[in-house]
Amino acid sequence: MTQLIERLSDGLTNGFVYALIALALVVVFKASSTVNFAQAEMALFTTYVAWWMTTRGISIWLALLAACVVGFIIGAAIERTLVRPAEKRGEMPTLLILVALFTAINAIDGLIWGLEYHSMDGLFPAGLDDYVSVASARIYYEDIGVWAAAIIALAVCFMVINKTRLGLLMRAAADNPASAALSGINVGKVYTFGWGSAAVIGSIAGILIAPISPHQLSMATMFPVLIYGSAAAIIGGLNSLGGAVVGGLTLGLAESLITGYVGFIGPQLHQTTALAVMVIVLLVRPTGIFGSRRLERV
Amino acid sequence: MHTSLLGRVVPTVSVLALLTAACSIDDQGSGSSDDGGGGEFTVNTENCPDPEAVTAEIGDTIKIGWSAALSGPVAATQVRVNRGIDARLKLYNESQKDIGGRTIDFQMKDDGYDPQKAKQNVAELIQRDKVDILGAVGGGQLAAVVDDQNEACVPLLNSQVGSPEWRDVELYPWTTSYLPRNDMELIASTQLIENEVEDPKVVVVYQQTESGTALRDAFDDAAEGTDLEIVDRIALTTPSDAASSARESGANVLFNATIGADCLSVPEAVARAGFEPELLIQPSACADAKSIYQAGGEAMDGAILFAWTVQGLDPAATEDEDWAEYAAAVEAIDGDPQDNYTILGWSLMDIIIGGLIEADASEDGLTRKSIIEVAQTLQYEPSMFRDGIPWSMSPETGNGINKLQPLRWNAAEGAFDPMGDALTLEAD
Amino acid sequence: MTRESTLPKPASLPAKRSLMRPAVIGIVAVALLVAGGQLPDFRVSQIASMLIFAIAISGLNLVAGYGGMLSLGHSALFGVGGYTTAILISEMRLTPLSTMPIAIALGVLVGALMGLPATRVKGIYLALVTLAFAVAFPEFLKRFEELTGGAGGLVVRSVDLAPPAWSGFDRFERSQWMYWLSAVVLVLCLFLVRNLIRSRRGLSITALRDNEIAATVCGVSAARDRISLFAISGGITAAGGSLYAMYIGALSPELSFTVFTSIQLITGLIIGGVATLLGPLAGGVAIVIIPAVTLDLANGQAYGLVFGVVLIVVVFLLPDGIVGRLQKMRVFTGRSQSAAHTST
Repeated sequence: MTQLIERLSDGLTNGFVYALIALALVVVFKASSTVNFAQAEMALFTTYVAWWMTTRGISIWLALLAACVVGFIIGAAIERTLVRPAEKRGEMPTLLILVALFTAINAIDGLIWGLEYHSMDGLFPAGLDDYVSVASARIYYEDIGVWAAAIIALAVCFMVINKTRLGLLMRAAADNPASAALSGINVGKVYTFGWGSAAVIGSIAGILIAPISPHQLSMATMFPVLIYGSAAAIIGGLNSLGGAVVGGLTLGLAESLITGYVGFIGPQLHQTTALAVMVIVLLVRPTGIFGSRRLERV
Repeated sequence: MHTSLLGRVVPTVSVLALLTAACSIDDQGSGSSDDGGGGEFTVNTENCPDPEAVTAEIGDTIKIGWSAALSGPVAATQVRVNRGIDARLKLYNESQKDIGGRTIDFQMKDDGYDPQKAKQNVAELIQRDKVDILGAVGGGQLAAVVDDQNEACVPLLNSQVGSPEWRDVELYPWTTSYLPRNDMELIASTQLIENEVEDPKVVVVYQQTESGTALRDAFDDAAEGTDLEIVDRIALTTPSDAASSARESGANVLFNATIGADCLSVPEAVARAGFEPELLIQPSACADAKSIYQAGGEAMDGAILFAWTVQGLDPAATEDEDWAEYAAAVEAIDGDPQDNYTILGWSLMDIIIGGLIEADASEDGLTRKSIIEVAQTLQYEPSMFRDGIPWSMSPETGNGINKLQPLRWNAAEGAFDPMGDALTLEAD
Repeated sequence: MTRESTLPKPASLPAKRSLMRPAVIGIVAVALLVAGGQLPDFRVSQIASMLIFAIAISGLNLVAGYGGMLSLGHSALFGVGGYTTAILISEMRLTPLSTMPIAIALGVLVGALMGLPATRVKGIYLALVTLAFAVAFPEFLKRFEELTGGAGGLVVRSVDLAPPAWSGFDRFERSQWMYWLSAVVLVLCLFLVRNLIRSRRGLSITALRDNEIAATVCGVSAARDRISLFAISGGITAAGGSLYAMYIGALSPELSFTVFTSIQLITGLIIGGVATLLGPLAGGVAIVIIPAVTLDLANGQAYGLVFGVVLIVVVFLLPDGIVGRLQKMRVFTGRSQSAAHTST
C-alpha cells in the first residue's frame, strides 16, 4: 500500500510534467501542423538560463519568470525565422529543421554551460523532512508543488485559449487559417504567439523537472521527457488540448505502475512501454484518442 | 603522500621477480629477460608489423594520444578527469622533464562516446600521428580499439576501465588499465559488509548501462560463498521507484551499482523513501566529495566509498608539499583542486610519467617495448595516492591499485571518516 | 523489374546511351576505388566506414526519399543487422560473410513490421511510430541480455573477423578487406534500389508519395507497397549494420544504435540528396567527415551544433542535397532529370 501510494505520487509528478510538454506540443501543432522535436531542448535551454541566474543569487521565482520571457522570445523567433519558411517547403523539411534544432540547441547548452551535472534548486522546499505521511507513504512538498504549479499553468492556458480574445484568434487561425485571414486576423502573428506560448509552457516544465530529475540539470535531462511528452500528445490527439493533459497523466501513472508491477516488461522496457501504448492507440485511431481528422483534398 | 616528487619510483625488483617467476606469465617471451627496472615481463615483438620501430629509442618528444568522450553523456565526468591530466602534464613539461629531458606532446581526440569514432581516432593516432602511447576511456570504446592497438604494438596505458576484461596479458600484452578491477573491489566490499553487518541482506540497485550491469554481475560473483544474501537486484529507472522497491525488499545493506549522476540521486531517493540501510555502499567511481557527498547533504550521511587517492575535502591530506604542488598546478589551469575526479586524472598521468622515467632508465632506454614492459610491472608511489596505498601493477591480475580505503561520509562534519585500515584487494 | 521496357520510365534515357553510361560510370567507379585502396590504412578504414553508412542511408532513402515517409527508426534496423552478425559470429562461430544473409533476412522482417503501421498512420504520426522502434531497440537489447550482452554489449575478436583466405588479404589487411567488401555490397544495394525505383512497383511508390489518394484511385495498393518498401529498406540497412559489426568488432546498445544514429543517417541522406541514387554515398561521406573535422573543436559540442546548422542550411539552401543539386544542374544542359524532390 505504501509503495502503491508512492508510485501513484511519482506517476502524478511525472505525468504533470509530461502533460505540460504535451500541451506545448499541441499548441505548436495547432499553429504549424508539426511535432516540435526541439520543444524539450528549448525548455532545457531556458532551464539552464534559470539555473544560471540562481547561481548569481537571483531568486528561483524571478529566474522562472526570466526563463519564461527568454523562452517566449526563442519560441517566437524560431517560428518566424526557421519554421515558417520551412513550412512552405513541406512537412518533411519542417520536421528536419526541428530535428536539427534538437541537436543544435543541446550542443549550445553544452558550449555555454559545460558538460557537468548541476544540482538545481527547486521552487519548493526539498528537505528530507518536507513531507506529509499518507498511510505511512511520504508525499513530499516538492511533488505537491509540482502538481499545484502544473495545475495552475494548465488552468491559465485553458483560460487564455477558451476565454480570451487572444485565444479566440488562436482557435480561429488553427481551425481555418484561410477564413481567419479573410476576417482580418494576422494569422502569422497568431502562430508566432503560439510558438512563444508553447516555449513558456515548456520552460515551466523544465524548471519543475530539473531539480527532481535523476539526471539533475544536464544535457540528458530533457530527452526522456520529450519521449513521454510526445507519446502523451499523440495518445491524446495532437490537436486536442484536453487530450494532452489526459495523455500526459495517463502515461505518467501507467509508466510508474507498469514498471513497478508488471514483471515481464520490467524496468528495462520503460520507454518502450510508453511508445507501444502510443503505437497501439495510433493503429486504432490514427489521430489519437481525442484528435480530430483533417480532410485531405486530392 | 610522502617523499618528494623525485625518486618516488620504488625499486622492488626482488619482490616482483618472485611474483612473476611464480606465475610464469612470460612464457610467450621472445627470449632475453632483462634485469633492469622493467621487471620480468617481456613482450613478444615478433608479430608486430614493424618490430624495429618497437625497440627504437624514442626521440626528444614523447607522443601520447588519447581517444575519450569529451561530448556525449559521460563527458561530464571526463572533462574533470582531464583537468588533472592536463595539470600533471603541464607541470612535467614546464618544470620537470625528467624523462631524459624529453617533452611530452599530449593530444586528446574526442570520440563522442562512439566506438566507431574511437576506432578511427586510434587508427589515426597510430598511423598518421605515430604516437608512442595511447589512451582510451570506457569499455565500449576500448573494446573497439584494443585488438587494433595490440596488433600495432603500441602501448595503451591506464585506460579508464574497471572491468577485468582487458587485463589478460596473454591476449592484450600492450594494454594496461588504471581503475581498480571491479571484481576485486567488490570482494573487498563484501568483506566489509560481512564485518560490519550481522546477517547481511543486500539489495543491489543497478544502472542499466555497461558500468552498472558490470558492477551488478561482479557483486553477484563476489557475494558467492559469503554470508551475504542478495535479496533483490533492481534495475534503475527512476531513483524514487528504485528506492521504494529497495525499502520493500527487506534488505539492510544497499549497493548502489551506478556511476555519474546516480551516485547522488539514488542515495538521495533512498533517504527520501525513508529507507535506512545499515550500510550504503558506493562504487569507487562515485568518487567526488563535493559534487556527490557534499551536494547530497543529510541524505548522504553514512554512505561508504572505497578510495585510493586523498580526498580534496580532507584538511589533513591537503597540507603537505605534494598537495601544494598538485593544487598549484591545477589552479594554474583554472581547475578545482578539491575535485576528486581531477585528483584521479592527475594520478593517472603521474603513474604514466613514473613508468616512463623507469623505462628510460632501463637497459633498452625509452622504447615502446620498454614502456609496456615497465608499465605491466610498475611499482610506484603516486603523490596523490593515500599513504600506504602504492601503485603496484601485476601482470597476473592486471591491477595496479591493490588496496582501497573504506571511507564513511560524515554529513555533519562535511568530510569522510576512514573505516579501519585499507583493505587489500584479492582476485577470486 | 524484368519487364522494364514496356513501362514508361521516370528517367528514360536514349537507348544508345543506356549501355555507354553504365560502362563509363563503372570504369570511373572502379578506378576511384582502386585509387582509394592505395591510401594509408587508416584512410582506407575511414572510407570503409563511409561506404557502410552509405549502405544504411540508401536503405533509409527508399522509405524517406522515394517513399516520402520520414523514418526515425532506421537505427534499429541498422542494429538488427549488426547484432545478428555479432551474435552469429561469437556464439554460433559462423564466418562473418555467412551471417550477412541472415542479418538481411531479419532486417527485412523487422522492416516489414515497422512498415505495418504505415498502412494506417501517416506523416508526423508515422515518424513517431518509427521513433518508437528506435527507442525500443536498445531497451530490448538490455532486456534480453543473455543473448545480446545487455548494456555491456558484444565484442567480436579481430581474429574472428579475419578476411577469408580466398580474398587474398591477410588478417592485418582487414581495412582493405572491409573496404572492398563494403564497396561491393554498396554497389549491389544501389543497383537494387535503382531497378526497384524504375520498376512498376517503384512508380506506384513515388505516386503514393506524391499523391496517395490519386494513386489509390488508380489502383495502387498502398498497404502492400508500403510494407514491401519498408521491408526492402530494412534489408539494405541491416546489410549496412552487418558490415558495421564486422568493421567495428564491438557493439553496444547505447553507443551505436540509439535514435541519434537515426538522426545521423537522416542528416546524411538530406545532405547527400533525398530520392537520388547516389545521394546516400555523399551522405555517408558527410556523416563521417563532419564529426572528424568538428569533434576536436570547442569542448566537443561544436559537433552537435555543426550537425544541426548544416542540416538547416541544406534544407534551405540546398534542398535537393549535393547529388540532387548536381543532377539539377544538368537540366540546363538539356538532359532530363531523374530525381524527384522531397515530398510536397
